[in-house]
Amino acid sequence: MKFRYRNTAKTLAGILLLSASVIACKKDFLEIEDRNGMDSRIWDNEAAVQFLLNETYDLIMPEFPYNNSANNILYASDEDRYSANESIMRKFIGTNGVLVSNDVKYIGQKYQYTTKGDNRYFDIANCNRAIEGLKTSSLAEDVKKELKGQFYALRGLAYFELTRLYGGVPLVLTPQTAESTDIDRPRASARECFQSIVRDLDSAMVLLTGVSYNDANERGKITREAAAAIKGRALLYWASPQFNPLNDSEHPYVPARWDTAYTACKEAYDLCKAKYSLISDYSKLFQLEGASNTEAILVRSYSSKAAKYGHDAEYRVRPLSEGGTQNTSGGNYFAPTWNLVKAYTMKDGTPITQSTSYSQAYFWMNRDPRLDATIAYNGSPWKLSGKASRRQWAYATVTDEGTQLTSTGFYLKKYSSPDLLASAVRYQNDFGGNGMDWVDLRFAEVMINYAECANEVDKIAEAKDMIKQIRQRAGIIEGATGNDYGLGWADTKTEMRDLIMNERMVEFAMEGKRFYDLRRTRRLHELNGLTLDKVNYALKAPITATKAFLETVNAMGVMNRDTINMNNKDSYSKYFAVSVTAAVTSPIVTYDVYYFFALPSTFMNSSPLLEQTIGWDNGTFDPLD
Amino acid sequence: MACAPLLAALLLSETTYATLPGTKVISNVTTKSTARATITGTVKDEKGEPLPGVSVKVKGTTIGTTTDVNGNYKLNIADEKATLVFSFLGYETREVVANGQAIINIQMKESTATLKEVVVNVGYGTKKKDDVMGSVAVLDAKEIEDLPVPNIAAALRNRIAGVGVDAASGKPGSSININIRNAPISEQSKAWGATTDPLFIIDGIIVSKSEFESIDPSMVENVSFLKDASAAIYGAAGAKGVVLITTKKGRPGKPKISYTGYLGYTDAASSPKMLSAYDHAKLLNDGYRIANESASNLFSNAELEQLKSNASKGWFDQLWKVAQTQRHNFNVSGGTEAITFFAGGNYYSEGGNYGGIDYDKYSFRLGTNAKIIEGLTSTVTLSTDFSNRETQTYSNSDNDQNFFQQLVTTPYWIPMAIDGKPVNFSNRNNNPLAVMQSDNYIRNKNQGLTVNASLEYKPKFLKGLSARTQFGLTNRAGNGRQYVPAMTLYNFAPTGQNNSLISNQVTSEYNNSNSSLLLSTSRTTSTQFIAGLGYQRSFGNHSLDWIAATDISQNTTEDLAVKWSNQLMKGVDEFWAFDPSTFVRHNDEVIESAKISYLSRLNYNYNKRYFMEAIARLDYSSNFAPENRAAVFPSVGLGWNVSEENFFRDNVSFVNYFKLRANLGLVGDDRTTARLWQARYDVISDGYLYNESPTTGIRNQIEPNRDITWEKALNLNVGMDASLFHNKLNVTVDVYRRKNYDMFDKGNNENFPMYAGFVAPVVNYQEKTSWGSEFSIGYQSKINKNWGINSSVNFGFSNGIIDRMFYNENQLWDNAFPDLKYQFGTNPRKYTSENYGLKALGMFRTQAEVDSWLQKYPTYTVNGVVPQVGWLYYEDATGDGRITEKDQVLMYNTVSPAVGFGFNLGVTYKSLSLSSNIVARFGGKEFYDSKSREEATNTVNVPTYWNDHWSLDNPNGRFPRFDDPSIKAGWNSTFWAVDGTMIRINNMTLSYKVPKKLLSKFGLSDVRAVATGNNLWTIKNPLPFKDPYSSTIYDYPTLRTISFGLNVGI
Repeated sequence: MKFRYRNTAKTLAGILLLSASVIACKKDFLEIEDRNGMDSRIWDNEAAVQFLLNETYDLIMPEFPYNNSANNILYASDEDRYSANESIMRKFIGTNGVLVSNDVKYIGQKYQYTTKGDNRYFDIANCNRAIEGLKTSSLAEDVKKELKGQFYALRGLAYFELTRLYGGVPLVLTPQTAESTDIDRPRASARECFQSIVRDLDSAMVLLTGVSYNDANERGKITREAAAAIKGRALLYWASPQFNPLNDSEHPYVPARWDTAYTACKEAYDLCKAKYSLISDYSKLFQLEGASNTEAILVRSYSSKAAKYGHDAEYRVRPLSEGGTQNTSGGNYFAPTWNLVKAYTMKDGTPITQSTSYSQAYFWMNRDPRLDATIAYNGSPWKLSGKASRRQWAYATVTDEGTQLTSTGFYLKKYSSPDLLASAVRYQNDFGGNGMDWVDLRFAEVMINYAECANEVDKIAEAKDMIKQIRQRAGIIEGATGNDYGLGWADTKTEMRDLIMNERMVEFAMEGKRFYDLRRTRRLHELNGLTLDKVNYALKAPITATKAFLETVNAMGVMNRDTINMNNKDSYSKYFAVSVTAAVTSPIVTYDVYYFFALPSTFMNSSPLLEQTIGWDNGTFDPLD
Repeated sequence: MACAPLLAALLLSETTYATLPGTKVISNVTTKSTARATITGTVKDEKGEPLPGVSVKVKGTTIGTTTDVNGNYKLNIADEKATLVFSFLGYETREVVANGQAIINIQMKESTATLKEVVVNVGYGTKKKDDVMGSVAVLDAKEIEDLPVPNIAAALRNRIAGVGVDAASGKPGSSININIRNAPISEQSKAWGATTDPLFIIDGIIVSKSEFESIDPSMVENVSFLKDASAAIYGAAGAKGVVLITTKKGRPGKPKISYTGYLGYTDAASSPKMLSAYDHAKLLNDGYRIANESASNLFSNAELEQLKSNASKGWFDQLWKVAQTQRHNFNVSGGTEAITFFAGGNYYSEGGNYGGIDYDKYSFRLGTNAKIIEGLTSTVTLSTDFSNRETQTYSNSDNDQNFFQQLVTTPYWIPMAIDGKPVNFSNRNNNPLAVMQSDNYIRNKNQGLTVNASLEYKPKFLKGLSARTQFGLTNRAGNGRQYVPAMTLYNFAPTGQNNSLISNQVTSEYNNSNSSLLLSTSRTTSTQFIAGLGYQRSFGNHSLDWIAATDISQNTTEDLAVKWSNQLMKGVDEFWAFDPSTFVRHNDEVIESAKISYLSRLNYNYNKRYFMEAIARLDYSSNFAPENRAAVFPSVGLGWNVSEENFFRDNVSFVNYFKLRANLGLVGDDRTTARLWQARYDVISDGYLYNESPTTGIRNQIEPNRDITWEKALNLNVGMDASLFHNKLNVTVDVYRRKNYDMFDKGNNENFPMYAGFVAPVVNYQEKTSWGSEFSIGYQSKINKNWGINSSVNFGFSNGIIDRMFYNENQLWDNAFPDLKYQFGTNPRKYTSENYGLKALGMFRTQAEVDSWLQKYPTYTVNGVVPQVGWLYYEDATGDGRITEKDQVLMYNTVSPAVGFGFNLGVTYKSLSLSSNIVARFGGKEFYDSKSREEATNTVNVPTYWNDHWSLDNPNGRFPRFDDPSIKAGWNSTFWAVDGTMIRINNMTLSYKVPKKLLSKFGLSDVRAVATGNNLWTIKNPLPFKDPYSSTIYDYPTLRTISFGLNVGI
């Protein structure tokens, strides 16, 4: 019997041993992977890092105007008569009260980025994590270089956005955790921010050397040239009066910054020249995409066919008659002002104020061809919905536009697609619209940035050479001897500076540059007291009869109005009288504090260490330090 | 007090069986002086009824037999001096020395287990209550098996001190939550899958709440509740308490077959009574008239007259109907000494009262115990269950509020359909009739399968040693289907002076073309393996009981849901009838976890007088980072059985049992579905577009906290158990203090700078101290041969305070009302959102009152509106001269009831027994729920209490005008508070046991008829327009069930 007991004892011990060994064999019993998402393995997986990069592009790359209301302050200026809904934009130019410290929420108000514009620092955190994570990644070196280069460039771009809006901002360059001490750092100075931006873009330029993208499925990625162009742009800001004021006793002017900017902009120009060039037809800047648009350097792609990647710009620029909206109760977007139209020179580059042939009644005659390429006015040809001989009419009570006549007398042609049918104009249910790419930085800007720096470092000839190329492309004629495409009007650095500023306003009309240029050059005060003006096209008396006549279809099958010869003053003035009045009656009021916006209050409240900017809420932070 | 002498008489009477004449065994043995080797006799119970199935054995041998249906037995014995052992479940075992007798008739006495002998499941084994040091409650399933409730949880309301039960609503299949001692949980941990549910264990295996809900009470022997540090044996999962279910097992002997079933009817315990068409219109007119609104807003007199004669019912009354519920179960058990079995099946169904709501389930269970060889036994239990939940109300939410709200708030003058065409009313576009006619449905099916097998070995060579292994596997699969076809409603031309009525003229067809099909599947598998050793032995006065075990478990949950939209083939509810391009993955989740644990428990007592218990458990949980996986949960308990002491026994004779006990220990909670310690990047479908190529993105979802680990709770419990007056009165008192710490908390995002670039991680931070006391007093007695009484009452006091939590001082000013939303450091009985409101000073009953008020306070406005007659006026707490939301202050010192009691009362008379469960709570405040005091409008009807509103004709009305701006704003105030005292009879069961004498002819052993009412009636209801268990009038009402059942046993 004893033997049996021992046997059972053995069995018993066996069972226990077995169960123990079951556990022992499964050493990784408790090592369970998270199957609902990628954990820290992400950095060893090329596709996963690429996914993160895709998301980061989506968050950081500049967007089509009005596509994200959080950004809309960036399009406020004197060139556009804003939608009545855009209260912050209207505050900026003083037609709807003044900006207060919590208005410009570009940094955001939420601790998330599930929606674009929630918080730029969450987007930067993506870059920080990737740059850190890729350091120890097992991916191939060239793969890592290409990915890292883009993250560096995106981070530089993001900090540049923040710095030019707010002055210095907290500079977070490593992944943060609840314990890390970096998060307790206060605002970095603008100088440190620019240093970091330049460093990031330098890194990107090095890492992206030799990297090329396939347009079919990689269009929009940041190239070495793009990084160089952004760097040039950034250093231009650092040298410009916004950060480098001319007459500020506390912050002496530093001319050397212009040398740095000149070098960077020239380098960008030289680099870009090899790959990019001005396209011949200015009117097609946004209509051409891909290889045929040799000018686009920094691009965000949109599509009318891929779900959720479209925009509604076509609807917003078009007249009602062709499927658009210009609803004055809040829907009118992209309404060019008379102020913008005035900036266009005569056809030979002579400013209208200097021209003897300019007449307000026939303002379109003999002007810089970019006016016709960009803006539609009463009687101007505007091919839409494939109608080649179509002309736009904007006279009072024009039947076609019903109650949605443009609020300024002008329409923007830039973001319209001439052959898109009216039925396809709307972007709705995730599809439709024109799908036009947003070109945030094009070769023309590289050239003008270069020109501006060259002028500041007394290389006027180089500057003029750049502007001349721009004007030649625009179709401006050389003109009389000494006119030199209108450049003859500028002899001094100051005159050239003004000329370049005007050239920017015209060349980049409605591209969202004006807001920044006004701030960068500290020219906001020049707007004060002006109004946003519009053009009225009154019908000659007897009004009813005139309107009836104009809208009667003649024997040729076209309306009588379409037979008017726009280049014949009599033909036009027989029916219309042009006058200019204020589109927004309250005059523009801007303030010096707008050169650096206040940090939003939720952002400020999130850390006791943050200083508010001087000029806002008793702020103490000096963005010029 | 008239009942006091009676109570004293009950307590002091000596009417126990031990002293009943004729029940002493020896005196009852009939002796004949013949010496024969065959003994015959009859075994009867104390009422003289024959007892079949009684085991009769010769002591020390295997010779034995059982009594027949008439209680007779016949046994051959070799030795005339042998001792016969009579044993029968539920009766005290008797030994009789044959001593040459030929006929031995015996009467057996029902065993009433005294408090200390109650067997309690304490996890990894059972103990007699005497050996338990902590707060462990036990419920005999018999107490609840007759109740017409869907599951055990629903039957526990007010039965166990410290165990809270909360039902979402009366909707069939809605969830019922159990909470032990108000287990706390931080807002953040809820978001990460933590729960206040206790840990559920069935026969030693951890199960999910679904398993607990699907087991039928008739399959259950008893339920134990570990409320304090006793749960340390479950270590990292015990912090919210443990509920242990022991299922019924078979016993050797003749097979027992029993059937129990009932048929019941359910109706709203209190149905929402809304204003009739006329009263509703009049209420609106009264307000409009005094506000000088133009006639075009009023109902004309002719219309009022017409509405007066309009007897149409509201949508609720039209749809609501009494529904049926039924339960049937069938058990067979029996076996031999070597193998016993228990097999059962049950079916439960509960129909909804409208909208195609239906809930039914059925299950089967088979358990066997086998002695393989001497000392080696195996137990195998298999069970499976199926459930089905259906509705046509567009949503399977627990309270069905969206649908129900329309039923009650639609004015009575709006018919559901005109000429068979469903009315599109007020653009709600989901007219219940149209919804139901559209053939939409939601069907959720669920199926569970469990295997629970164990092997136990008790070797003879070492007495007291046992070894045991157990394996459990639980598998649960579910699939859901929601079909929403397009539907059509009709707009009817508005008519009447104010265009609020509708004509029968169709103006347009309204097509709700949203159609979709959502299919989902889910699967949860958990396995558990336990291996352990035990040693139980007494050496003289020393008793020792020790176990050590290892417990390994693993869980996997997988969910997948996909969705199609845009139905192309009308009337076909299959995916191929839908536009294939609309296919989306709706949800997809896989959650896995594993745990390895080692545990040990040592009990020691000296002479049944001094007790000691020590528990330690070491857990490794996969939910945390490798270096934070291990934790030890110790607990220690001490007990002193005072009544065993001579000085006590000699001096305090009326106390039969008195024990003092205390335990202190640590428990934890690792139950979270999220991997809080790991980074997680979620792949999202829309990333970025390169040219025309859309790409996928990835998004950082959580900020990992590598240090995250268990929530912990340190429990101290001091208790007392006593039995008095011949074990008739049993008292248990527990006092506890619990410190929860390391609770999951999320630093408010605002606590981190916005430039940090992350959302706050979940951290072990929050701390809460809770304290309380629990009292259970039970009394049971036979008054005389026919009458018996058993009753119990339980009550308790508890409170808690949050000692530490993340909150942001800097941003308080950014918070909208109420700024004091954080309960940090405050008394939750006072500082609760319920207690915030305006202090009402009264109602302006005349214009003169308004005028004089405005003279005194010229700037006075309520929510920006100058007061009018018939409106309420309030105290200006901020002193700014106007009433705004900022004037909401704490209204009362406390709104919680002072004390709440749960009573169980039972009376037996011969074969009749009546038992009931009564709940009473006293004091505190109840408020008219925010839904019932919603502003009446031309499209929203309100409860009938609004009939007594202020108007020119009724200046003394109880309620203000409906357009009072404070009502519009939805502000609570003291005006809406009533005394919270509530007395309610939860349920009552009347049963009749047919005498055995009658049954034996039919070969039956037991027949019992039962009538039961659940949620029977509310004696004192603070708010008569709704049931106290319903939170708002827009919820599916609490149901009253009346049922009739039958229990038959063979």
